[in-house]
Amino acid sequence: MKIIAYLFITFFIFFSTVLSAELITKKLITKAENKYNIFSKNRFIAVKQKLLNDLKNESDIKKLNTVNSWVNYIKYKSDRKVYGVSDYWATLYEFIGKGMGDCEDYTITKYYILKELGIDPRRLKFTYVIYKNRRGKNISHMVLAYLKIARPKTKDDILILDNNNRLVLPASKRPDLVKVIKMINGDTGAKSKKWKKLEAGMKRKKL
Amino acid sequence: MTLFKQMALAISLLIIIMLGAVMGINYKSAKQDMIQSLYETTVNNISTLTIKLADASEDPAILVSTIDAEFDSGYYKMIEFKSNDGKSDYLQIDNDPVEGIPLWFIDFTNIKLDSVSADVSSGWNIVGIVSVTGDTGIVYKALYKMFIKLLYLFVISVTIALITLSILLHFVLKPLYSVQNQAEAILKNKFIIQEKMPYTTEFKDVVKGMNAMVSKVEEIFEKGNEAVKRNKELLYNDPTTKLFNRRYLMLKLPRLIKVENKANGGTIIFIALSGAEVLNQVLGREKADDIFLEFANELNNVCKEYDEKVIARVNGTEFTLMLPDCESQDANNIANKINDKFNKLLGDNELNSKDIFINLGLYRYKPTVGVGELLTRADNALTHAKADENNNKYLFEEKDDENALGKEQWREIIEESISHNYFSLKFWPTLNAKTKTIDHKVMTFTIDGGEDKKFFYGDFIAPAINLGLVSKMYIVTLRDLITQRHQELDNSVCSIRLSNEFIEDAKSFNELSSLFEKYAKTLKFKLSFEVTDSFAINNTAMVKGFVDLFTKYGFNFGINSFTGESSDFNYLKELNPTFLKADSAFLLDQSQDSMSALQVITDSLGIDIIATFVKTIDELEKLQTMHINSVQGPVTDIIS
Repeated sequence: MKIIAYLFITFFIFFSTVLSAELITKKLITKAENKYNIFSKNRFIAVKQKLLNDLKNESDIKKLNTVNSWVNYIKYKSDRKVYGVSDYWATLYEFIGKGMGDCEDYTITKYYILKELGIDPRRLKFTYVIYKNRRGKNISHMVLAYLKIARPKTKDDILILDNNNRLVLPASKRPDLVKVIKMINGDTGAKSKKWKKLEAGMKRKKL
Repeated sequence: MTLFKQMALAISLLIIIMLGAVMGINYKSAKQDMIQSLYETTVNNISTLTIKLADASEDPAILVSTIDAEFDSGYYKMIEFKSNDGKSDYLQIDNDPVEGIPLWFIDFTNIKLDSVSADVSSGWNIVGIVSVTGDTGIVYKALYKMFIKLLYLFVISVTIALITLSILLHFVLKPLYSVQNQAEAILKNKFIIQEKMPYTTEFKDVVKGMNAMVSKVEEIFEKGNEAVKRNKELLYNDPTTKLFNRRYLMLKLPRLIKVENKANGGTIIFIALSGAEVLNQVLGREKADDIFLEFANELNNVCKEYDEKVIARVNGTEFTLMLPDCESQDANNIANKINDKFNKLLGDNELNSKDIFINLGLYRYKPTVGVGELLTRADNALTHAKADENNNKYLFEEKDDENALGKEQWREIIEESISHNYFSLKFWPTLNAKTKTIDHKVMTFTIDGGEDKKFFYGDFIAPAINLGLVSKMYIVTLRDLITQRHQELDNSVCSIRLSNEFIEDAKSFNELSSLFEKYAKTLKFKLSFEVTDSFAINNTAMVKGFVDLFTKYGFNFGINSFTGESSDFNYLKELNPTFLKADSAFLLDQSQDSMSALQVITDSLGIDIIATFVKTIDELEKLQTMHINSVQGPVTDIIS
């Protein structure tokens, strides 16, 4: 009788760990609906089904394209307006839950979805760039760069996932990104203070 | 505070201060090291940053992006760029509170880290100043972790140190506990000799000294005990038979007549031997004395069930048995047995019962009889016996008063008094004649239940004993004494004479215990309890149980009606009373030697002697020459 009880408890712990390790859980969806609205809930359901579920067995390119265009569908809004501070790294849950955010938030959400879809996170780089807009003004910007090969030799080897462009294009086809300031790893590299904060937020599914 | 506690406290404080100081220094130096290290890292970082910013200074977008990239990928509190022209100033600052660290710790640690500034140059131009502040959150987190670890370490170290200290102190101070026990025993007048000598030199000397002192006091007590025994024998015993003598009988009679018992009185038996001279002639003096001794033993045997009695040889041929609580029927049986034993004694020694015989006069008395009347009537009974040729025994019985209440009437009165508490408490003072202050007040009680229901203690105690209601009666009066306010007792001592029947009742002890437990703390006066000497001698173990109970609550205990009848005073050592109350007639009758010996005993045990029934100033003065100052009785009215 005791052994059965132990087995049951072990199974329960294992099962709940697996469940909570999922990127998007049912509990989270309910919470999002309660905190925000039905649209928020629908966004999470869409991520869960259309992206995480449907793209599971697709090619990397298909994953990159679909994720990029789906995430870009979310409205851009500056951190000052959403969070009242000049710079804030929102978790995937805050970004999708609120349905708005700035360039870093798009990058973070794309990173975590792609990682969940099985893309090697070491190939995904958070890239600080200078983006020249249509009026010719230089703007400090962040994009997610995907390295097609581990050690890219040309700009063609790097694909850019950018909230300003619905297409995933090689860097060579992005003359509007006039300068690359820095490329940093996601949660696979040395963890800065910002990364640690973000990771903690992701772990507790901060909405 | 005990020595152990004082030492433990002092050493504990020392340990805590030392450990606290070590850990405080440790913490402070770690804090300084960390701040220094953070400052140095910031200096290193600013150097790299100025080079990067030199390239970016031309375009504000590049500048912002460079600062953002640097800020996001490191540990900074703030990076600020101030351009000389004021057009491309930029500030990245993290104002979020440090997560996982309580506010009090941040206030307590209060780290102040200066920002580091450096010029940013492009070519030969200085385009601005960059200022960087490192992230103190790292230091807070590290220090907090260290603080918690130090705290655990401190608690564990202090716990281990205190446990070790406790064991060590217990070990070192162990001999002191036995010294303390011995000292407490001495204070309680108990004689304890410590056999095991402590190994610590100072303690060993103390124990040796105390042992010597205890031995001396014990020796004094034993000598006193022996002396009292010897003097008592000389004074009160017949040398041949070891029975009491006439002097002792006369001394005891007044009290024995009035002894509380269920028989409401008792029986006195006079025995007169005829033919003593024949006995001496036939057997010789020595052999005759043996017969007397044997006869005395038989007398003791036939009435051994009576605790309070006196068997005396009042002269060469006359014996008296004073038997309180002995009904006429029982006395008759005793007389028959005496007769039988005497005849057997004659037969065994081949003596003729016609030449040597005894006559027995029995008188069944009531407590109202005086000593003179008692002796006259018993003597009359003996004369009757002598005159009767057919019967050598005559019983004279005093008839019950026709107006006296019957058993059932008494039952009704006493039970009603118990259920409605008709008992009225009275207090009589025991005075110290020297200081003229009240030593304590003795409680007694009467029944006061209206016009026809007024009785003195002496009236109802015998029926109450007969009906088995003494214990209940005492509990009601004691409850009244303890729970009700009696102003005249405030800040004084109230002494209660416990009846023998009350102590013998199995329920009494528990009743007293629960009364004490509930009310002892709220009492505005101190209690004291007394039992009679003869009861204490014959029931020492039982009385000891009560004495322990009284001691537990800090109440006194005393012996009353002391007549020194015991041949051994070790029961006093056992019961350790605070006082002995003895009839003034008894005390005044003592020779100087006897009194000195008695006082040696009482002094060695720390017992006060109180004289009771002191009637005149003359008696008081005589008592005072014997160093007895505490008195009870009519004289207290005269003094006060």
